[in-house]
Amino acid sequence: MPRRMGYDRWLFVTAGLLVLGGILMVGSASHYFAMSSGMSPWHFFARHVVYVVLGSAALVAAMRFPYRRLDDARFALGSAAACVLALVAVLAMPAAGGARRWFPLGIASVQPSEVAKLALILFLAYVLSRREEKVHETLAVPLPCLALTGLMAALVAIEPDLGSAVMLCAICGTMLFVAGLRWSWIGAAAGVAFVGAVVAVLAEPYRIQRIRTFWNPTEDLQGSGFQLWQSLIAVGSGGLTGTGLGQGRQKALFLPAAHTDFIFSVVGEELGLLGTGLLLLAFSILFWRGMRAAMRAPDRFGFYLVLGTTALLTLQGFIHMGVCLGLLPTKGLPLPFVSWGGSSLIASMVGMGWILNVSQYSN
Amino acid sequence: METTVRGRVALFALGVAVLAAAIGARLLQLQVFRADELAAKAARQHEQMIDIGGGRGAILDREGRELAVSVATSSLFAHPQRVQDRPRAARLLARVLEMPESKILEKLRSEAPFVWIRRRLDPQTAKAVEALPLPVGPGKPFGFETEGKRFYPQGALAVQVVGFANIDQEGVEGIEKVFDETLRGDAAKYLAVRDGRGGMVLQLAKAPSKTPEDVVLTLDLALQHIVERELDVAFRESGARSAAAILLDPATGHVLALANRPTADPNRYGEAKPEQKRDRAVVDQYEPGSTFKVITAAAALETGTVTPERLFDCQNGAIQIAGHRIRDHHPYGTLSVRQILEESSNVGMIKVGRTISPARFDEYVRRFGFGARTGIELPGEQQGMVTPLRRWSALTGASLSIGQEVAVTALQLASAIATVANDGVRVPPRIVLGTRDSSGSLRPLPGPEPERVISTATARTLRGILEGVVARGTGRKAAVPGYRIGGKTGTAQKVDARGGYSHSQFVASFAGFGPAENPRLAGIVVLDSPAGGVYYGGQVAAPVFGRILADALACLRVAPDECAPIPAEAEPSGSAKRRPETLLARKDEEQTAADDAPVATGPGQVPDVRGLSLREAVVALADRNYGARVEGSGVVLAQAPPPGAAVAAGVVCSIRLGAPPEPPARSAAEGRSSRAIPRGRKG
Repeated sequence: MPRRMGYDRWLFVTAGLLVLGGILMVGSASHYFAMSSGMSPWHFFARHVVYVVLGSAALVAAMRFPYRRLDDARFALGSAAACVLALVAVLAMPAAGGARRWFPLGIASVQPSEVAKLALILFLAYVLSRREEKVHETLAVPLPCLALTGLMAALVAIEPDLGSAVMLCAICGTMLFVAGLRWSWIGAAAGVAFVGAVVAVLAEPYRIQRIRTFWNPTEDLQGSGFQLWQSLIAVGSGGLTGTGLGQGRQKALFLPAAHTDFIFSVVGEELGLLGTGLLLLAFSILFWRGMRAAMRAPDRFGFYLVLGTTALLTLQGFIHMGVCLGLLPTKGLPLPFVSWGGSSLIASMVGMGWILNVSQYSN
Repeated sequence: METTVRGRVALFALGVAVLAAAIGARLLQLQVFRADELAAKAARQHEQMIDIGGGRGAILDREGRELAVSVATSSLFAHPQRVQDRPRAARLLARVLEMPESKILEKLRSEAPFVWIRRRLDPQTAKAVEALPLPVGPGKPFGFETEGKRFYPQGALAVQVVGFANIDQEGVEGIEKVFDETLRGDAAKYLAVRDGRGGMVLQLAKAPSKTPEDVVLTLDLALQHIVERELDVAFRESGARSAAAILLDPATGHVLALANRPTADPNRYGEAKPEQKRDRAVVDQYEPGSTFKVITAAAALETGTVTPERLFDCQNGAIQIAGHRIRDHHPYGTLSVRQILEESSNVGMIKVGRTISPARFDEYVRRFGFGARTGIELPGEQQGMVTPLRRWSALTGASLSIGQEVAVTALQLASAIATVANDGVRVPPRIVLGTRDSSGSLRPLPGPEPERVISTATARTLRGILEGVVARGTGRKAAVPGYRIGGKTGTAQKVDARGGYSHSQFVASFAGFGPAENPRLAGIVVLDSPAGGVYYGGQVAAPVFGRILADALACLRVAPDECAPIPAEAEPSGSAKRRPETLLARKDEEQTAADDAPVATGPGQVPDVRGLSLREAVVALADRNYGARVEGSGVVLAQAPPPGAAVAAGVVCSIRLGAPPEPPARSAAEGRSSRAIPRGRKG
């Protein structure tokens, strides 16, 4: 029986600082957008504070709840099934901003794809911890894992929320990769992904344009290159120390979704290299301590649970940064702990709760 | 833990580390090495200096009536990249804007972040665009910007004088060009802090240092109307290639009217051909021919070498000078100087010219203003050509005596005849009275210095002779019943392509003044190359001048020289019989002031001019392109056709004037001031 120890302070403090910094950044980044949309300038800020409170409670609950009780078919299969149903149901909801991603619940709305990410991790951890030795048996591991991931990713992509679909695939890929999936499988998956990407690009001409502007953003400054170019201008104009918190101008409708998908760019403009460097450091710490907690996990379920959650939180963070910096094609993904969005924030804090939970039982 | 898993974890960590390192490197690149460049780009898109307003002053006639004004209009622009369905947008807009769809589509496919679709729309079109199912408005792909548009409420009236301001409200011709700086206002400079959708917050960065000012011309629209109307008729009926007419106030040098044909509509200036825009009265020079004999006579009379009664042998119509034979149009025997001018004998005039030395002759020609620009405030004025004394040939003196070997502008000749009319004092012509600032006070432009050219006595003698030209001589058709008019005809052969004088191309002109005793008006009518074999100045130009002066003097309420009342049946002016149609004032049709209340009328209807002064009535009628035939003086008592009658443009209406019907209710003076001039067109 592993010793019960204190939870990982590095993770707790880092996540806590990210959340606190996120409150400031959401307030700054959403101010102009809220006003120009006819809302109170503090509309997003106030909601974000509420989400932080709810998220903190969720984090504590996820941290306290014995994680081994999650290692149960009722949880693993039940939550996956519930999420698939929810992802189907959300498609019937009225579109908001051109997408059907949310269940409107009065004053707030719930985004099932954020919950689905956690449910997928739970399911994969459940399957892999039991069948680690059979990872090469098509029917035992790869098929059910890929089937659920594929189903969820397809439903999310229909919404459309390509960023989240990519994240679901990334989680599954990471966990199967680490579980030791054969290289031939990995090569095949990469090939399928490549062919799929090529087909997807050829099917929609605007995606070719996206790719082209990714390589050369100044080529189409007003079209698809606009967002990326504006993001680069924001980050670059911040310089070393930035224009000062609240002083950025790029969030004034130059950056699309400044308080969600491009909040890293706002940090870059207002806080400069100092702010972006600290964010990069913070997510590196999360990765380091998260992987450390995974490696020290007392059981296979704990290992896969923490591995998946760490991959989710840090990969999404790095991808968000990469997108803002023009290193990756534009995909709308919030920065975990920092960006506005209740579902994303609370889901991230639940995931962090799990990591902290497992970190208490290091062997 | 299995080694495979550990190995895979290490590989995964390595991959993430590479990603993190790439992010770090990119951060350094953007925030350290390219920081300045990107910060400059940010500043450029956030902050922009924009000019707002500026506006443009109006151009007014001497009474403050508007010839050119600026009106606020909406200009439609697009941010092409934000337009969703470009072919659909182009299709919708093409119908409303009456533009080719392909042209709009081309604009919408532009790479530029901002394109004008169509500038300066009229209000109805702008409304129609707003009604389209397109995203129009602040922050949307389409939007409107308010821009001033030049509008010329008087249409083609004095278009070559007023000129034209282009779509950017920059004066490119005429007064619009010369007084561009005055008319223009400095735009206020604003620092615009923009957001990503083009919305902006403006901060005043520099207040305008200059507000637009109006330019007040010396033109009198009432007279301008008359001149334009008569010149138009003459131009059409004579088949001339071009025509110009000028009316001056001899005492002040003010140009009261200046018209050219062919002409253009300034509100459709883009469609006008260059010949329609040409201000011929000042930019075209021609050989004046016999009208110039006035100058020869003035010089000879002033130097005292001849008297009006001195006789010269006109040699039965021909004289040999330096191997050239110069003929008269009609053989004459012995004629006095007076008769030489009346009959316009070339032979006689050459002999008059010979009595003065070339130096003297040249001096007078130049003192009358020939060979130099008058200095009028119009662009492109020509100075004419006067042979320098040292280059005179044996023929020059004779040629100059009869207006050959010299090139003049119509304005120079009008100014010379005005000098005679003004008792020998030359007041250089001017067309700008002054400028008017926003407070409405007129700042007069300093006028040129008057200069005596010939003595009062000589001028009066000459006027007497010129009155004889109209009373008995070649200018008989310029006569105006009731007034004594003076003037001189001119029929100059044009120089043809081979450098010789043409036998088919002539410039017919008449320069004159009236009333002869105390001239209030002087002017000129020039018709270039009249067609149809009638080309003598006395035949084609003199009657035009007469008709202009008849209406103009009536309009200025100049007392007739002969006090006898004009019989109702008589033609009050020489013009009526030539008009397309005169609706005669039959007593039973006449609408008198006493009949009923004022009638409100619109365009295409005869305005209610009852109770107005003559001047006001003529302007009111002319505003709707009606002529006026006048009887009596005082205020308008009756008019035909009646007010409100729908009558075709160009018709001449009869108005009968007399003492105001109810003396205590409204005197003539009160009637003038208490009633606004009905305006057919609203600016």
